[in-house]
Amino acid sequence: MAENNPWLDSWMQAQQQFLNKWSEMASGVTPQVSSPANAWAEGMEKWWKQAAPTTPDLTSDLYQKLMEMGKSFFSMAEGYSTSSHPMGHTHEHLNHWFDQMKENYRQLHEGGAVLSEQAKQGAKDFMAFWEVPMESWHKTAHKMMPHAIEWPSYYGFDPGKPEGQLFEQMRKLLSMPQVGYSRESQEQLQTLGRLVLDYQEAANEYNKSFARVAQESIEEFQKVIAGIDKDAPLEVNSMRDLYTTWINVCEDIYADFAMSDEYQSIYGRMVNAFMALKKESEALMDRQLESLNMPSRREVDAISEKLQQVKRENRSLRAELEGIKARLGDAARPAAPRAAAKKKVAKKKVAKKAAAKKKTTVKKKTRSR
Amino acid sequence: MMSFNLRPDQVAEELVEFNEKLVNGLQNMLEVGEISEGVTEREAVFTDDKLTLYRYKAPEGSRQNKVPMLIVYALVNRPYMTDLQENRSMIKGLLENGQDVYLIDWGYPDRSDRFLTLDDYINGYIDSCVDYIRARHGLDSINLLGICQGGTFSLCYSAMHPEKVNALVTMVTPVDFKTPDNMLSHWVQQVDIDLLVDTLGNVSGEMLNWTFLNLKPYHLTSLKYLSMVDLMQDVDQMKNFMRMEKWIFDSPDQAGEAYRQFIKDFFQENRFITGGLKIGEHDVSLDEVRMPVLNVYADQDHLVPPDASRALKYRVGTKDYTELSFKGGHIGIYVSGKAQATVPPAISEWLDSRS
Repeated sequence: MAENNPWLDSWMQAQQQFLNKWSEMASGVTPQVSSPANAWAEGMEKWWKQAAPTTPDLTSDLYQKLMEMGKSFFSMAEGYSTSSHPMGHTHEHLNHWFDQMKENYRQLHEGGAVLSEQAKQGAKDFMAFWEVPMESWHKTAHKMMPHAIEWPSYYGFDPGKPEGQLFEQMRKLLSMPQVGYSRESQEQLQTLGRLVLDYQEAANEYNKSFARVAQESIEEFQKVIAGIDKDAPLEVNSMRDLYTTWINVCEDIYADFAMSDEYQSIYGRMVNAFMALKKESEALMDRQLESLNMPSRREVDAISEKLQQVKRENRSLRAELEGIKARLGDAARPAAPRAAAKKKVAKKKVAKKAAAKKKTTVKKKTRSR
Repeated sequence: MMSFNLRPDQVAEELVEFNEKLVNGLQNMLEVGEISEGVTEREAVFTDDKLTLYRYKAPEGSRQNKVPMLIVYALVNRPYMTDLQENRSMIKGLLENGQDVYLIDWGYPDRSDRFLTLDDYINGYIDSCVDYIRARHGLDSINLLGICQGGTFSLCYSAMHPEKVNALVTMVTPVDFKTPDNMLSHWVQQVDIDLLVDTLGNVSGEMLNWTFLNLKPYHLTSLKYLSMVDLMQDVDQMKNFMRMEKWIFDSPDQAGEAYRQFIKDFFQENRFITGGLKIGEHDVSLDEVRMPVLNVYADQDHLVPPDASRALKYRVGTKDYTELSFKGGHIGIYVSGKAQATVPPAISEWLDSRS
């Protein structure tokens, strides 16, 4: 295949040069990679594992972000280079790539024909930053919970599918009336279970909306590149130009979505569902701690609240005391200096009045960096 | 007209070059070491719980405005943004232009601070600092400079204690929280804030980071790091980038009760505009802000849209109101080269004529 495809030839050569470069860095240890497609990312990971133990946290975080950006950037270059018509023109080449990417991404979300692992990974890497809002929310939420909760997959959820039907079955089960000696504790667990389902459904809805908008972004990108939007003259002379254009398109599509009523609703629902789940989960934890004769969060909060009230009262009493001291001091002072002080204040007020100007609007035009 | 020119050999060459830059840059990154912040010499002059009040040292022999200035920073992020590095320091600029600068550092609230309210922050902490400075300088009133949320606090404070404020400067300060382009406000309208605060207690800095990152997720998570590869070739530029990166993610937790009131009263109820704002026992109205006001905003601010700041003009009680527009963003107004050259001198000139 490579024999008939100059794009693929160039890509393979580039991969070889990357490998050589990483190999030099890793003190002569050549990274073993699974395929040319992953050479860049794997080479970088292997090298970093050797270097990372000596680096501060901030550097490690930064490296991770560079890595994520790099995967996305290289994935675009790779997709662009390897999915081409062997001898086609640039526009045909791009359209072919866009169609392939759309189809891969659609399949990734909706199922259907089985994608190869390489195609799956390519679509995921290329679209990876579309998942940033969900992924980072998941990480944040995960840290807030005393125990792990299952994060619904970004890919492939559909209420009509078996997992969607399973949700309904679980909801029915969790609504069954409880009887007998342990009724109360069973009901508490049922409530918690229902809140887990509520949160997972809300998170699914959030994910699905993002997946839909991400697909729209590919379509919009295709339109921009095809020059349909004549108002936005575009020059693409490098892979970086292409990538920047892609990010700008994504940001614009996202901004419209984020300001929509739909987003306000799914965002609110997801955050509220998570908070309801966490609150119930903590109430259960508090009951367990109290049964062990240990202080619960509720009790510690009650103490903090009382302490804050006492501090407030102290502040108020101190201010009152200072006021009394000042008044006593004033009363003890001779009359003449007080009069002089009053004159001084009056003089200052006159000066201030003179300096005061009418409402004015001054717009100084300055340039940002 | 669209121009598209991408040849296979050119793409491969570009990727190899990018990779070489990245390799060199990563080597530089390993040599950067710890990142410091805050460059101007300062003295801690007053503390109250976790709050520290700093006074910055003016250059030797410089002229000083006899009315000192208190900078009230936001509770979100850390105030060293105003003194980030030698050539990017608003505080240094203010000192060089003759201001006597104090700054409130709120510290990092912990769970014992959960029940701090806006009343505690504004009528407690800010008032204590103002009283300390007034007593130290023997003045009835001082100048206030509020930044972002700190500007909102400063407006509240000035409305409640006008006799203690000689002149007020607000920088990138939200006043109308419901302008159509306010993304943060749009998102929070259906969030049950009572449930959120009752559940979390304090609101974590990480959750705030998530929220702010989502304002422009693709530029802030992808394009920024692509551009960074160019900066990584120079260790000093790399340090500057990482200093900013450190600031962006250095987010203190928010005291729960203050957060609850701020989001409900300002973001959801928009009470500066609709009225009915109450801080502690005080009814707060912008009509009561009668001292001179300088309102500085950034015309490309994605966090506090310009209209959100400009709304002050029609609500504030003073007859001495001035606006200063800066062509840049929410952060650029403190750190860009152009900002250094224009913003502190303009603020100082305005204050000097009113102090």
